[in-house]
Amino acid sequence: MSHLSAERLAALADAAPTTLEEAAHLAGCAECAAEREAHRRLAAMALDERTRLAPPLTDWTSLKAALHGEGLLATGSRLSPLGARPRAATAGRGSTVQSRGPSTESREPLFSRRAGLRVAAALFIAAGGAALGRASAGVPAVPGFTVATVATAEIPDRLSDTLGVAGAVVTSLVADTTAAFRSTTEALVALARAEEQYQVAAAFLLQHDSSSGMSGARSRSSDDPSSVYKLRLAALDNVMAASREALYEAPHDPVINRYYLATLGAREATLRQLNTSLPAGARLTRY
Amino acid sequence: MGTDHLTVRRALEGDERALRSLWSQHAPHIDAVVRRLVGDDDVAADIAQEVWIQIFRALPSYRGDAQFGTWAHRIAVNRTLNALRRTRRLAKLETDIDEESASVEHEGDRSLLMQTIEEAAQRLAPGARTVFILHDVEGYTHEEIAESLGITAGGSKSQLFKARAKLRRLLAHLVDSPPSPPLGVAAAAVTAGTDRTHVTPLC
Repeated sequence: MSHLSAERLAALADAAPTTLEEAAHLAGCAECAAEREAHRRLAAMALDERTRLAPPLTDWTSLKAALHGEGLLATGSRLSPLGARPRAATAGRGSTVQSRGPSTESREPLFSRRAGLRVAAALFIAAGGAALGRASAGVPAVPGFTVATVATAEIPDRLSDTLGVAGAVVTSLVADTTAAFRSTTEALVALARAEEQYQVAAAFLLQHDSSSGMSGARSRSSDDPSSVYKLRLAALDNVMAASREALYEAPHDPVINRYYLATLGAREATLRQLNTSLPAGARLTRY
Repeated sequence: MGTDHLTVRRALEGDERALRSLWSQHAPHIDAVVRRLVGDDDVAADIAQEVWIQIFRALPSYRGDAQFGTWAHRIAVNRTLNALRRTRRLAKLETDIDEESASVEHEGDRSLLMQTIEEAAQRLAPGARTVFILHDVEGYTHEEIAESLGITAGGSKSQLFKARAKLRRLLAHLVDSPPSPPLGVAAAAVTAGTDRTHVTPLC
């Protein structure tokens, strides 16, 4: 029997042979058996795609505006009761539904513990990113602050200083948080803005500042230009592992999800940089 | 009662924060479905917004028989397919399925190796790509795909196998290799040129 066709082998990735002849051929032909295995690996890769997280395409601000436009959301941060769609329909497409009763915001604490934690986490991320950016540019992160040393033997001195400063900044900012925001909505908007800034700053650092914060690492192995990226990659793997564990604890927490995604993005960017730092002709194919 | 069910109930009672919570919890998955089916991020962003409006509009019909994510996923797929149909991306599948079947093989596929399924799937004809994503990624049956796309189950199978065969070539460097080492053990592997047998750990 001649080899099975490519499409037949593709079909056999998740199906059994339909004839004895076909089964016998697969059992005796190493080439066709290998092809079938390749298709099974492809199927497994496809299945993995389903669970792959990616940054959302939508953002709440524009979605909220669209919901207003559709008459699904009333003004004053009050959702039109969705079970009462005929009322919304009466209002017509493009119009808003009158708010009924007190606003949702007024029923809840101005600054709940959960929202506070989210803001604190975001501020930590934002302050850490900002401080790292300033430090890498040779500028003190926050003039006048005493640096709390958190360095270990594995962390380059300059980076540990930066982390210490970031911690001090966070402590200070979180202490002022309750005075800075009047509602959870306002805090969440600030959170989103801080996250955006952090992402942009991190991307910039990855693009332009690969070595300044880790000069010690570079000097230890100056013969290998990719050592900085390898060290960063190893560190990011640790962060990934920690944030993945956190996701098991709080799978739906948006802050943890964002932190995980940010780390994932940084890791992928570092891999790309590592790829470009490799000798000509060598490239990353898997990680 | 699950957390989602309580959140849905609060949303139905008029709690905007509950609505936002549903969005923030499920957007990474729902938007990813839209992105996979559409391909183009700009177009996908518009459709994703339509999808979420549709999900919220349909919220009163959510009975809690399935997980909210599963229910929303189904809406996302249907809405995205409708949107694609509007933009004629599926017209090829529905009207020229025979032509498409004859055009999956291209010279030079092997020289254009892709790094991910998502990237490689962009090289498929729209119909074959949609069938592949619905079946192999989203887990739809051929009968469900046939109903959604207005084709036969046999046509769905035919498209799937052609798509798989092409993707297998485009991703040969990935599917021909043994499974990847565990994350963190070898953070990266380097090959020289396209020699798949020469793998050197970086760390």
